[in-house]
Amino acid sequence: MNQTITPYITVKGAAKAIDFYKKAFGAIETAARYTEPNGRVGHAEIEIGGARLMLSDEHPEIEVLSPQTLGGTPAMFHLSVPDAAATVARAAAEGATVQRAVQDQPYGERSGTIKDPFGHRWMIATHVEDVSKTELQNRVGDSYKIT
Amino acid sequence: MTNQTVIVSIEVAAPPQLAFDVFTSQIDTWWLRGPKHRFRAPWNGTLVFEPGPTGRLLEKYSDGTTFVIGRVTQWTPGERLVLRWNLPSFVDAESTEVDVHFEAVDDGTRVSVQHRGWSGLRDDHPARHGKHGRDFEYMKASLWADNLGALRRHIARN
Repeated sequence: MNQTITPYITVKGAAKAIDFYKKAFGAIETAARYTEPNGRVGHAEIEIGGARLMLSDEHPEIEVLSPQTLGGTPAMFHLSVPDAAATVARAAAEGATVQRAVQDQPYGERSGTIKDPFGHRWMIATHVEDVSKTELQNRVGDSYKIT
Repeated sequence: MTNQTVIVSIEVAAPPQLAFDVFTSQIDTWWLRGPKHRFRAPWNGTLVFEPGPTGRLLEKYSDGTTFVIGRVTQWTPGERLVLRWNLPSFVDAESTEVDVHFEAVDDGTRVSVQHRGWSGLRDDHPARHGKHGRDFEYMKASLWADNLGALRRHIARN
């Protein structure tokens, strides 16, 4: 059996988050959504660019908590898109906060970082050039050692 | 019927009227097969949905017998379908209710199923498969999730 890793995130307001990911990132809801009678989403699945992402509302009774409750998140999603600036602009229009504006990076990506309205962080990136290790070392100088 | 249960929903790529028609008239094509999902041995039955406000959902077997799974209590094409829902292990007044909503969304229809009324079944009822509370809720919900996933794939293919 093959191994696959699939992120499973917690959001405060899963139904709204799915709408945001659809509008901002073109997500498709691919599987059944489980909603408790009080509106709490127990499980849902979306796909962004063919990659699966599972999500649910907070379940404090089993310590399933969102970035908003925890006061931050240690993880980030890297999303490759054809036009990073356009995707960041669309996400911002839907309520995301831009943390780092889109700019060309020495490693060959044009990328920026946003925090979505639910506290999850995304690096939105477009590949713009192939950069060799030697060239990358030249570009970053003494800041990093490229190995 | 006051006890509420987990709602299982899925998006399908068809407008509500068509989603309703496929859900009912093509149910034998999309509903999953085998003992886990079909209703009575020898598990070779054909699901037949008799449409309309007094319609029924039946499983018909090769020996000529039938089992009535559901009796329609609300038939609103493109919007809502409610059935009294029975399993072969039910006796006398035992019954549950399946409430299906069809709601237009951006790219098609969200089909939502709430299967409720389980609290009327005794704790050791065979339909519970030894599960109670949230475990039972999610077991029933996962069966609907499997079948709604099959409905979604069926509509996407056709």
